[in-house]
Amino acid sequence: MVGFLDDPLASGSGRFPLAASTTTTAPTDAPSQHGLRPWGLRRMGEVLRPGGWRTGWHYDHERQVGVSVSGVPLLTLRSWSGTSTTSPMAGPPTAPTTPPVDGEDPPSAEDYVNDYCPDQPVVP
Amino acid sequence: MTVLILADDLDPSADAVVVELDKRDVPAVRINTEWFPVQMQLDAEFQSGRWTGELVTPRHRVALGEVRSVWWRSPNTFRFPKGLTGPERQHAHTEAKLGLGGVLFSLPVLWVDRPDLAATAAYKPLQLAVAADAGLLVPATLITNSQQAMRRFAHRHGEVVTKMLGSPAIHEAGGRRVAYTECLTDDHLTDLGGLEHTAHQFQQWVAKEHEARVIAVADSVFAVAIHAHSAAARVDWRSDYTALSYEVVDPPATVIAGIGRVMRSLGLRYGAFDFVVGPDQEWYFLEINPGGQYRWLEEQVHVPVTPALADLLETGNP
Repeated sequence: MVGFLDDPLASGSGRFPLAASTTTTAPTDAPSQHGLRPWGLRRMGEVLRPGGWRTGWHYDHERQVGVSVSGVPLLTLRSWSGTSTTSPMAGPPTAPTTPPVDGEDPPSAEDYVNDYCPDQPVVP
Repeated sequence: MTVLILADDLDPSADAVVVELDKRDVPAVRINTEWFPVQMQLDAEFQSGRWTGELVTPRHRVALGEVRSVWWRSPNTFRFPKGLTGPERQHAHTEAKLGLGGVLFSLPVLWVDRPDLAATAAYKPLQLAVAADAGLLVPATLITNSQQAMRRFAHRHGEVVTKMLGSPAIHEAGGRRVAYTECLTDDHLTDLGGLEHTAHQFQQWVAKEHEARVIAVADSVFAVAIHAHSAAARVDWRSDYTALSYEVVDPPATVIAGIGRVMRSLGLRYGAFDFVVGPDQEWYFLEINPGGQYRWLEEQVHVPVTPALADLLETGNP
Protein backbone atom coordinates (compact mmCIF):
# COMPACT_ATOMS: atom_id res chain seq x y z
CA MET A 1 0.00 0.00 0.00
CA VAL A 2 1.51 3.30 -1.05
CA GLY A 3 0.86 6.50 0.86
CA PHE A 4 1.24 10.06 -0.25
CA LEU A 5 4.71 10.45 1.21
CA ASP A 6 5.82 7.51 -0.91
CA ASP A 7 4.34 9.09 -4.00
CA PRO A 8 5.89 12.48 -4.67
CA LEU A 9 3.74 12.97 -7.75
CA ALA A 10 0.65 13.89 -5.82
CA SER A 11 -2.21 11.55 -6.45
CA GLY A 12 -5.82 12.52 -6.31
CA SER A 13 -5.79 11.22 -2.78
CA GLY A 14 -2.89 13.46 -1.88
CA ARG A 15 -4.85 16.53 -2.82
CA PHE A 16 -7.18 15.91 0.10
CA PRO A 17 -4.67 14.85 2.73
CA LEU A 18 -5.96 13.46 5.97
CA ALA A 19 -4.02 12.85 9.12
CA ALA A 20 -3.67 9.27 10.24
CA SER A 21 -6.27 7.66 12.42
CA THR A 22 -6.27 8.49 16.09
CA THR A 23 -6.95 4.89 16.91
CA THR A 24 -4.14 3.27 15.00
CA THR A 25 -2.14 0.74 16.98
CA ALA A 26 1.55 1.54 17.29
CA PRO A 27 3.66 -0.73 15.08
CA THR A 28 5.80 -3.19 16.96
CA ASP A 29 8.58 -3.39 14.39
CA ALA A 30 12.01 -3.30 15.97
CA PRO A 31 14.72 -1.03 14.55
CA SER A 32 16.70 -2.55 11.70
CA GLN A 33 20.38 -3.30 12.01
CA HIS A 34 23.05 -0.62 12.25
CA GLY A 35 24.02 0.54 8.79
CA LEU A 36 20.69 -0.35 7.30
CA ARG A 37 18.58 1.86 9.53
CA PRO A 38 18.43 5.37 8.06
CA TRP A 39 21.15 7.47 9.68
CA GLY A 40 18.72 10.19 10.70
CA LEU A 41 16.85 7.80 12.97
CA ARG A 42 19.85 7.26 15.22
CA ARG A 43 19.01 10.26 17.31
CA MET A 44 15.48 9.12 17.95
CA GLY A 45 14.70 9.13 21.64
CA GLU A 46 11.79 8.04 23.74
CA VAL A 47 9.12 10.62 24.36
CA LEU A 48 9.00 11.57 27.99
CA ARG A 49 5.41 12.19 28.71
CA PRO A 50 3.57 12.32 31.99
CA GLY A 51 0.76 9.86 31.81
CA GLY A 52 -0.99 8.68 28.74
CA TRP A 53 -1.97 10.46 25.63
CA ARG A 54 -5.51 11.48 25.08
CA THR A 55 -6.85 10.56 28.44
CA GLY A 56 -9.21 12.44 30.64
CA TRP A 57 -11.10 14.27 27.96
CA HIS A 58 -13.65 13.79 25.23
CA TYR A 59 -15.14 15.74 22.39
CA ASP A 60 -18.44 17.44 23.15
CA HIS A 61 -20.49 17.24 19.98
CA GLU A 62 -23.00 19.76 21.27
CA ARG A 63 -20.51 22.48 22.19
CA GLN A 64 -18.03 21.42 19.50
CA VAL A 65 -15.00 21.62 21.78
CA GLY A 66 -12.87 19.24 23.79
CA VAL A 67 -13.93 18.89 27.42
CA SER A 68 -12.67 17.17 30.55
CA VAL A 69 -14.32 14.13 32.05
CA SER A 70 -16.56 16.42 34.06
CA GLY A 71 -17.45 18.50 31.04
CA VAL A 72 -15.17 21.50 31.57
CA PRO A 73 -13.85 22.89 28.27
CA LEU A 74 -10.16 22.10 27.94
CA LEU A 75 -9.52 25.69 26.94
CA THR A 76 -10.40 26.84 30.42
CA LEU A 77 -8.11 24.40 32.24
CA ARG A 78 -5.02 26.00 33.57
CA SER A 79 -2.52 23.19 33.52
CA TRP A 80 -2.38 19.45 33.32
CA SER A 81 0.50 19.47 35.77
CA GLY A 82 -1.09 21.90 38.15
CA THR A 83 2.31 23.39 38.96
CA SER A 84 3.80 24.54 35.73
CA THR A 85 4.29 28.21 35.11
CA THR A 86 4.59 27.51 31.44
CA SER A 87 1.74 27.15 29.07
CA PRO A 88 -0.53 24.22 29.66
CA MET A 89 -0.72 24.08 25.90
CA ALA A 90 2.96 23.49 25.39
CA GLY A 91 4.92 20.35 25.83
CA PRO A 92 6.83 17.62 24.11
CA PRO A 93 5.54 16.44 20.78
CA THR A 94 2.33 14.66 21.52
CA ALA A 95 0.73 14.17 18.18
CA PRO A 96 -1.33 11.02 18.21
CA THR A 97 -0.03 9.96 14.87
CA THR A 98 3.19 9.58 12.98
CA PRO A 99 3.40 9.37 9.22
CA PRO A 100 0.82 7.39 7.39
CA VAL A 101 0.06 4.06 8.85
CA ASP A 102 -3.26 3.53 7.19
CA GLY A 103 -1.91 3.88 3.70
CA GLU A 104 -2.89 7.47 3.51
CA ASP A 105 -1.23 10.67 3.59
CA PRO A 106 -0.72 13.37 6.19
CA PRO A 107 1.13 16.20 4.51
CA SER A 108 3.28 18.14 6.89
CA ALA A 109 2.84 15.37 9.36
CA GLU A 110 2.36 15.93 12.99
CA ASP A 111 3.98 19.22 13.75
CA TYR A 112 0.35 20.11 13.53
CA VAL A 113 -0.11 19.16 17.14
CA ASN A 114 3.48 19.07 18.29
CA ASP A 115 3.07 22.18 20.30
CA TYR A 116 0.12 21.02 22.24
CA CYS A 117 0.13 18.77 25.22
CA PRO A 118 -2.96 18.49 27.36
CA ASP A 119 -1.88 15.03 28.33
CA GLN A 120 -3.63 14.99 31.63
CA PRO A 121 -6.14 17.78 31.84
CA VAL A 122 -6.87 18.67 35.41
CA VAL A 123 -10.21 19.99 36.45
CA PRO A 124 -9.64 23.25 38.36
CA MET B 1 -24.07 31.38 6.41
CA THR B 2 -21.90 28.91 8.24
CA VAL B 3 -18.20 28.51 8.92
CA LEU B 4 -17.17 24.90 8.43
CA ILE B 5 -14.24 23.76 10.55
CA LEU B 6 -12.52 20.50 9.72
CA ALA B 7 -10.28 19.49 12.60
CA ASP B 8 -9.08 16.75 14.87
CA ASP B 9 -11.33 16.23 17.89
CA LEU B 10 -8.49 17.40 20.12
CA ASP B 11 -7.41 20.76 18.77
CA PRO B 12 -7.26 23.74 21.12
CA SER B 13 -6.97 26.20 18.27
CA ALA B 14 -10.17 24.87 16.76
CA ASP B 15 -11.79 25.06 20.20
CA ALA B 16 -10.79 28.70 20.49
CA VAL B 17 -12.15 29.65 17.09
CA VAL B 18 -15.42 27.81 17.76
CA VAL B 19 -15.83 29.82 20.97
CA GLU B 20 -14.91 33.09 19.25
CA LEU B 21 -17.38 32.55 16.41
CA ASP B 22 -20.05 31.64 18.93
CA LYS B 23 -19.45 34.94 20.75
CA ARG B 24 -20.03 36.71 17.46
CA ASP B 25 -23.19 34.71 16.73
CA VAL B 26 -21.55 33.39 13.60
CA PRO B 27 -22.84 29.88 12.88
CA ALA B 28 -20.05 27.32 12.83
CA VAL B 29 -20.07 23.59 12.40
CA ARG B 30 -17.00 21.59 13.30
CA ILE B 31 -16.43 18.17 11.85
CA ASN B 32 -13.69 15.60 11.87
CA THR B 33 -13.50 13.51 8.73
CA GLU B 34 -12.76 10.61 11.07
CA TRP B 35 -16.47 10.62 11.89
CA PHE B 36 -17.30 9.65 8.32
CA PRO B 37 -19.09 7.38 7.60
CA VAL B 38 -19.98 5.96 11.02
CA GLN B 39 -20.92 9.19 12.80
CA MET B 40 -21.47 11.53 9.91
CA GLN B 41 -23.69 11.43 6.87
CA LEU B 42 -23.21 13.14 3.54
CA ASP B 43 -26.22 13.89 1.36
CA ALA B 44 -25.04 15.82 -1.67
CA GLU B 45 -26.98 16.18 -4.90
CA PHE B 46 -25.77 17.92 -8.02
CA GLN B 47 -28.54 19.87 -9.63
CA SER B 48 -28.87 23.14 -11.49
CA GLY B 49 -25.11 23.38 -11.81
CA ARG B 50 -24.13 23.11 -8.16
CA TRP B 51 -23.97 20.78 -5.20
CA THR B 52 -26.76 21.00 -2.69
CA GLY B 53 -27.51 18.92 0.35
CA GLU B 54 -26.04 18.65 3.81
CA LEU B 55 -23.54 17.16 6.17
CA VAL B 56 -25.00 15.72 9.34
CA THR B 57 -22.95 15.16 12.50
CA PRO B 58 -24.16 13.66 15.79
CA ARG B 59 -25.45 17.05 16.94
CA HIS B 60 -25.26 19.44 14.03
CA ARG B 61 -26.03 19.72 10.37
CA VAL B 62 -24.78 22.11 7.74
CA ALA B 63 -26.32 22.82 4.37
CA LEU B 64 -23.67 22.80 1.67
CA GLY B 65 -25.12 25.94 0.14
CA GLU B 66 -24.87 27.76 3.45
CA VAL B 67 -21.12 27.34 3.90
CA ARG B 68 -19.28 30.65 3.72
CA SER B 69 -15.77 29.44 4.51
CA VAL B 70 -13.83 26.32 5.43
CA TRP B 71 -11.03 26.15 7.98
CA TRP B 72 -8.88 23.13 7.25
CA ARG B 73 -7.09 21.91 10.39
CA SER B 74 -5.76 18.56 9.25
CA PRO B 75 -8.68 16.35 10.24
CA ASN B 76 -8.16 12.63 10.64
CA THR B 77 -8.65 9.91 8.12
CA PHE B 78 -11.97 8.14 7.75
CA ARG B 79 -12.93 5.41 10.16
CA PHE B 80 -14.88 2.49 8.78
CA PRO B 81 -16.90 -0.25 10.45
CA LYS B 82 -14.88 -3.09 11.87
CA GLY B 83 -14.92 -6.25 9.85
CA LEU B 84 -14.11 -4.78 6.46
CA THR B 85 -11.29 -6.56 4.69
CA GLY B 86 -8.18 -4.70 3.60
CA PRO B 87 -9.31 -4.33 -0.01
CA GLU B 88 -12.79 -3.33 1.10
CA ARG B 89 -11.36 -0.75 3.46
CA GLN B 90 -9.11 0.67 0.75
CA HIS B 91 -12.04 0.86 -1.62
CA ALA B 92 -14.20 2.55 0.98
CA HIS B 93 -11.41 4.99 1.75
CA THR B 94 -10.90 5.99 -1.85
CA GLU B 95 -14.60 6.43 -2.45
CA ALA B 96 -14.99 8.45 0.72
CA LYS B 97 -12.12 10.72 -0.12
CA LEU B 98 -13.19 11.34 -3.69
CA GLY B 99 -16.82 11.71 -2.66
CA LEU B 100 -16.70 13.77 0.50
CA GLY B 101 -13.47 15.52 -0.43
CA GLY B 102 -14.69 16.23 -3.91
CA VAL B 103 -17.97 17.73 -2.76
CA LEU B 104 -16.18 19.96 -0.26
CA PHE B 105 -13.63 21.02 -2.85
CA SER B 106 -16.41 22.08 -5.18
CA LEU B 107 -17.83 24.60 -2.75
CA PRO B 108 -17.16 28.13 -4.02
CA VAL B 109 -16.00 29.39 -0.65
CA LEU B 110 -12.90 30.67 1.12
CA TRP B 111 -10.55 27.89 2.24
CA VAL B 112 -8.08 28.45 5.04
CA ASP B 113 -6.09 26.68 3.70
CA ARG B 114 -6.89 24.66 0.63
CA PRO B 115 -5.72 21.17 1.53
CA ASP B 116 -3.98 20.54 -1.76
CA LEU B 117 -2.01 23.76 -1.40
CA ALA B 118 -1.21 22.98 2.22
CA ALA B 119 0.07 19.58 1.11
CA THR B 120 2.30 21.15 -1.50
CA ALA B 121 3.59 23.68 1.00
CA ALA B 122 4.63 20.85 3.31
CA TYR B 123 7.64 20.11 1.12
CA LYS B 124 10.49 21.85 2.91
CA PRO B 125 12.86 22.09 -0.06
CA LEU B 126 10.10 23.91 -1.91
CA GLN B 127 9.60 26.18 1.08
CA LEU B 128 13.24 27.20 1.10
CA ALA B 129 13.22 28.01 -2.59
CA VAL B 130 10.01 30.01 -2.30
CA ALA B 131 11.28 31.86 0.76
CA ALA B 132 14.56 32.82 -0.91
CA ASP B 133 12.66 33.96 -3.98
CA ALA B 134 10.51 36.07 -1.67
CA GLY B 135 13.58 37.86 -0.39
CA LEU B 136 13.98 36.07 2.93
CA LEU B 137 17.37 34.91 4.17
CA VAL B 138 17.68 31.13 4.06
CA PRO B 139 20.53 29.14 5.63
CA ALA B 140 22.62 26.97 3.32
CA THR B 141 20.96 23.58 3.21
CA LEU B 142 21.93 20.15 1.93
CA ILE B 143 19.56 17.31 1.16
CA THR B 144 21.37 14.15 0.28
CA ASN B 145 21.82 10.43 0.69
CA SER B 146 25.53 10.77 -0.13
CA GLN B 147 28.06 10.48 2.68
CA GLN B 148 30.58 12.31 0.54
CA ALA B 149 28.23 15.21 -0.04
CA MET B 150 27.43 15.39 3.63
CA ARG B 151 31.12 15.53 4.62
CA ARG B 152 31.73 18.18 1.98
CA PHE B 153 28.91 20.30 3.35
CA ALA B 154 30.07 19.90 6.93
CA HIS B 155 33.63 20.80 5.98
CA ARG B 156 32.47 23.91 4.16
CA HIS B 157 30.16 25.24 6.84
CA GLY B 158 31.74 24.02 10.04
CA GLU B 159 28.75 24.10 12.34
CA VAL B 160 25.88 22.11 10.87
CA VAL B 161 22.59 20.79 12.19
CA THR B 162 20.51 17.89 10.99
CA LYS B 163 16.75 17.94 11.06
CA MET B 164 13.92 15.92 9.64
CA LEU B 165 12.21 16.86 6.42
CA GLY B 166 8.91 15.47 7.60
CA SER B 167 7.68 14.10 10.85
CA PRO B 168 10.14 14.21 13.75
CA ALA B 169 8.58 11.09 15.24
CA ILE B 170 8.04 7.44 14.48
CA HIS B 171 6.31 4.57 16.17
CA GLU B 172 8.33 1.41 16.48
CA ALA B 173 8.89 -1.39 18.93
CA GLY B 174 5.54 -0.51 20.44
CA GLY B 175 6.67 2.95 21.49
CA ARG B 176 6.97 6.43 20.18
CA ARG B 177 10.28 8.09 19.46
CA VAL B 178 11.13 11.65 18.54
CA ALA B 179 14.19 13.28 17.02
CA TYR B 180 14.86 16.94 17.51
CA THR B 181 17.19 19.12 15.52
CA GLU B 182 20.74 18.24 16.50
CA CYS B 183 24.17 19.80 16.01
CA LEU B 184 26.63 17.55 14.22
CA THR B 185 29.81 16.53 15.99
CA ASP B 186 32.94 14.69 14.87
CA ASP B 187 31.38 11.52 16.22
CA HIS B 188 28.54 11.86 13.75
CA LEU B 189 30.97 12.14 10.87
CA THR B 190 32.92 9.01 11.74
CA ASP B 191 30.01 6.71 11.08
CA LEU B 192 27.44 7.75 8.52
CA GLY B 193 26.17 4.27 7.76
CA GLY B 194 22.53 4.32 6.72
CA LEU B 195 22.69 7.86 5.42
CA GLU B 196 22.53 6.44 1.92
CA HIS B 197 19.20 4.77 2.58
CA THR B 198 17.02 7.85 2.36
CA ALA B 199 17.18 11.63 1.96
CA HIS B 200 18.63 13.55 4.92
CA GLN B 201 18.56 17.27 5.57
CA PHE B 202 21.52 19.24 6.88
CA GLN B 203 21.58 22.94 7.44
CA GLN B 204 24.20 25.53 8.21
CA TRP B 205 23.99 26.49 11.87
CA VAL B 206 22.93 30.10 12.15
CA ALA B 207 24.10 31.97 15.22
CA LYS B 208 20.96 32.81 17.07
CA GLU B 209 19.94 35.34 19.63
CA HIS B 210 16.50 33.81 19.73
CA GLU B 211 13.95 32.18 17.49
CA ALA B 212 10.59 33.46 16.42
CA ARG B 213 7.32 31.96 15.38
CA VAL B 214 5.37 34.23 13.11
CA ILE B 215 1.73 33.48 12.46
CA ALA B 216 0.36 34.88 9.24
CA VAL B 217 -3.40 35.17 8.84
CA ALA B 218 -4.17 36.63 5.44
CA ASP B 219 -2.47 40.03 5.60
CA SER B 220 -2.02 40.07 9.37
CA VAL B 221 1.25 38.99 10.98
CA PHE B 222 1.76 38.06 14.63
CA ALA B 223 5.35 37.52 15.70
CA VAL B 224 6.54 36.05 18.97
CA ALA B 225 10.17 35.74 20.01
CA ILE B 226 10.99 32.42 21.63
CA HIS B 227 13.87 32.74 24.07
CA ALA B 228 15.59 29.51 25.02
CA HIS B 229 17.20 29.12 28.43
CA SER B 230 18.71 25.65 28.15
CA ALA B 231 21.30 24.13 25.87
CA ALA B 232 18.81 21.75 24.30
CA ALA B 233 16.22 24.43 23.70
CA ARG B 234 18.79 26.68 22.07
CA VAL B 235 19.18 24.08 19.33
CA ASP B 236 15.52 23.11 19.09
CA TRP B 237 13.04 24.90 21.29
CA ARG B 238 10.55 22.06 21.00
CA SER B 239 12.87 19.87 23.02
CA ASP B 240 12.46 21.77 26.28
CA TYR B 241 9.31 23.82 26.67
CA THR B 242 10.00 24.46 30.33
CA ALA B 243 13.08 26.49 29.37
CA LEU B 244 11.29 28.95 27.12
CA SER B 245 10.07 32.48 27.53
CA TYR B 246 8.11 34.51 25.04
CA GLU B 247 7.86 38.08 23.88
CA VAL B 248 5.82 39.83 21.21
CA VAL B 249 8.13 41.36 18.63
CA ASP B 250 7.89 43.32 15.41
CA PRO B 251 9.67 41.72 12.48
CA PRO B 252 11.54 44.02 10.11
CA ALA B 253 9.45 45.36 7.27
CA THR B 254 11.47 43.35 4.78
CA VAL B 255 10.61 40.14 6.64
CA ILE B 256 6.92 40.98 6.77
CA ALA B 257 6.98 41.69 3.06
CA GLY B 258 8.77 38.41 2.42
CA ILE B 259 6.24 36.50 4.48
CA GLY B 260 3.47 38.01 2.40
CA ARG B 261 5.17 36.94 -0.79
CA VAL B 262 5.64 33.39 0.51
CA MET B 263 1.98 33.18 1.46
CA ARG B 264 0.86 34.38 -1.93
CA SER B 265 3.30 32.14 -3.76
CA LEU B 266 2.09 29.07 -1.89
CA GLY B 267 -1.54 30.16 -2.06
CA LEU B 268 -1.96 30.12 1.72
CA ARG B 269 -4.20 32.19 3.99
CA TYR B 270 -2.72 30.80 7.19
CA GLY B 271 0.83 29.81 7.95
CA ALA B 272 3.15 29.39 10.93
CA PHE B 273 6.66 30.55 10.09
CA ASP B 274 9.76 29.71 12.10
CA PHE B 275 12.76 32.01 12.02
CA VAL B 276 16.15 32.28 13.66
CA VAL B 277 17.02 35.82 14.68
CA GLY B 278 20.76 36.35 14.82
CA PRO B 279 22.81 38.60 17.09
CA ASP B 280 22.93 40.96 14.13
CA GLN B 281 19.11 41.02 14.18
CA GLU B 282 18.93 39.39 10.78
CA TRP B 283 15.95 37.02 10.39
CA TYR B 284 16.64 33.63 8.80
CA PHE B 285 13.75 31.58 7.47
CA LEU B 286 13.64 27.99 8.70
CA GLU B 287 10.25 26.70 7.63
CA ILE B 288 6.56 27.32 7.28
CA ASN B 289 3.86 24.99 8.48
CA PRO B 290 0.42 25.61 6.99
CA GLY B 291 -1.06 23.77 9.95
CA GLY B 292 1.28 25.07 12.62
CA GLN B 293 0.03 25.71 16.11
CA TYR B 294 -0.46 29.13 17.62
CA ARG B 295 -2.74 28.64 20.58
CA TRP B 296 -0.04 28.28 23.20
CA LEU B 297 1.50 31.57 22.08
CA GLU B 298 -1.83 33.30 22.25
CA GLU B 299 -2.14 32.09 25.80
CA GLN B 300 1.37 33.15 26.74
CA VAL B 301 1.57 36.61 25.21
CA HIS B 302 -1.97 37.31 24.03
CA VAL B 303 -1.30 37.67 20.33
CA PRO B 304 -4.82 37.91 18.88
CA VAL B 305 -4.61 35.14 16.31
CA THR B 306 -8.00 33.63 17.08
CA PRO B 307 -9.89 36.90 16.42
CA ALA B 308 -7.96 37.35 13.19
CA LEU B 309 -8.88 33.86 12.06
CA ALA B 310 -12.48 34.46 13.06
CA ASP B 311 -12.49 37.70 11.07
CA LEU B 312 -11.19 35.90 8.02
CA LEU B 313 -13.59 32.97 8.28
CA GLU B 314 -16.54 35.21 9.06
CA THR B 315 -15.88 37.35 6.01
CA GLY B 316 -15.47 34.43 3.63
CA ASN B 317 -14.86 35.19 0.03
CA PRO B 318 -14.87 38.91 -0.65
